[in-house]
Amino acid sequence: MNDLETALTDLAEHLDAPDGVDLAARVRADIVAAEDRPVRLVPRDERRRAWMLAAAAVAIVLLGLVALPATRTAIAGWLGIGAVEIRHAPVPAPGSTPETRPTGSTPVPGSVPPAGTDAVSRPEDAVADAQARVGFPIRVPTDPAAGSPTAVAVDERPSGGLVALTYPWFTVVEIASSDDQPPIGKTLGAGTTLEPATVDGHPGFWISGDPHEIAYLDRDGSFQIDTVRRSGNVLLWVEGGVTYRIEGPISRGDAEQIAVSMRPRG
Amino acid sequence: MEPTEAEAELVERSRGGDLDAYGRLVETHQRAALRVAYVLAGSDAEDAVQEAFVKAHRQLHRFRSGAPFRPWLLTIVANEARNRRRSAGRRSALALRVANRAETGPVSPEDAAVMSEARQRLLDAVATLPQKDREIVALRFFAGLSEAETASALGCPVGTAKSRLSRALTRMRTELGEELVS
Repeated sequence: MNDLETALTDLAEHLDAPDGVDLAARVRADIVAAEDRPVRLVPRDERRRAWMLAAAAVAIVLLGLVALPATRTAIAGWLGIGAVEIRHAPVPAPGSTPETRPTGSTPVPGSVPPAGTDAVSRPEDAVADAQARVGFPIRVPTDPAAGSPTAVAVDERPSGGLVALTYPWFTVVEIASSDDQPPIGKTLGAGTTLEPATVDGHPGFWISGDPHEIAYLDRDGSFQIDTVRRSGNVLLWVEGGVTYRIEGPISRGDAEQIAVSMRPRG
Repeated sequence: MEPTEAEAELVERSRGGDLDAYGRLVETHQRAALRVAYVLAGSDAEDAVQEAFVKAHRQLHRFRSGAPFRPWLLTIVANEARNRRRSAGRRSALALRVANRAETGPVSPEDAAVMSEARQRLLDAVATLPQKDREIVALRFFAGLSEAETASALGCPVGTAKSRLSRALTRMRTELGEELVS
């Protein structure tokens, strides 16, 4: 240090330090006054009502054989409040498959192929059938580049239902979810990345690196894990009480183009 | 301040809605926050810091667990302070003062007076620097931020902060001349 820097450091020690009398109390009063807005902080206790995240859809992206906490509260605790946090878990051994589950975990909707997968000659009929079995208006891509659906699958086990529409280059998954709040994402596993995305102003994520599973918050406010149906990338967003995923080996630009073209069927 | 387990726990509890825990974080960091705000926003410092702590609380979910809390907080403080200054539309002079405190150690009253006056002149020299130079000198030396924290508070790359600081000090040396030789 030279003379000037020494002198400045000395000066710093001789400055009147403003100490902000009552600052902590004023901050606290401001925080409390603002709390008539929806709470976004999640207490870490075990009671189900603590899951204010019930208003949010959640995406957790897992890669391969990451050990899942067995209980819903453990998952939620491990989520924290999260916007995005990257954690690196051991990369699974070559040859392991996402079908292998930790023993003792309960099968969850979406982890086995859903019932009712039909190859369609009349896509609109299959979509109409699916509509009768889910509790939200199914939307379909209207961009000509999307092509026509080659398969429609419905899983009625999630509350409000799930529909998966297979197109030549991607699959659209629509799941009844809790109300519109920005989704919260966390990735586990090296190689999968999560970036914020928006679709028509609705917040979501662009997830690349071949995620295998994504969690969401169903209509009852329970965490569920769903299997990604088409390997590649995933564009996820939440809109109108539905979690949408566009999955497959397509680029972000293409996925976004498909996403903004989605309209109620018919 | 180094990240400690105690602080990490306070952060976690704050995230869980524990207002007492957050109050302790405020108390721990308010002095550093006020110094930064006084450098950047002058007399609006207290309001800026209060609002910054409220905003930081709202954004706790974005704070990465285990990371040091202070640099993250001080960036929020710096942004809030700068916003206030922008909307107030006035150039703020440095609002720090040389303390009127007894010297520790064997110093004669005359020497104490000389030292105090020298400090005041140095503070005046900082206060009359061009705004960007003043900010960077004050953040680095008076608020005690590291180079990385200073760059983050000013919203510029670390390299830019380093060269700006170096130029500011050179300018001061030229102006203060042989006053520094004591």
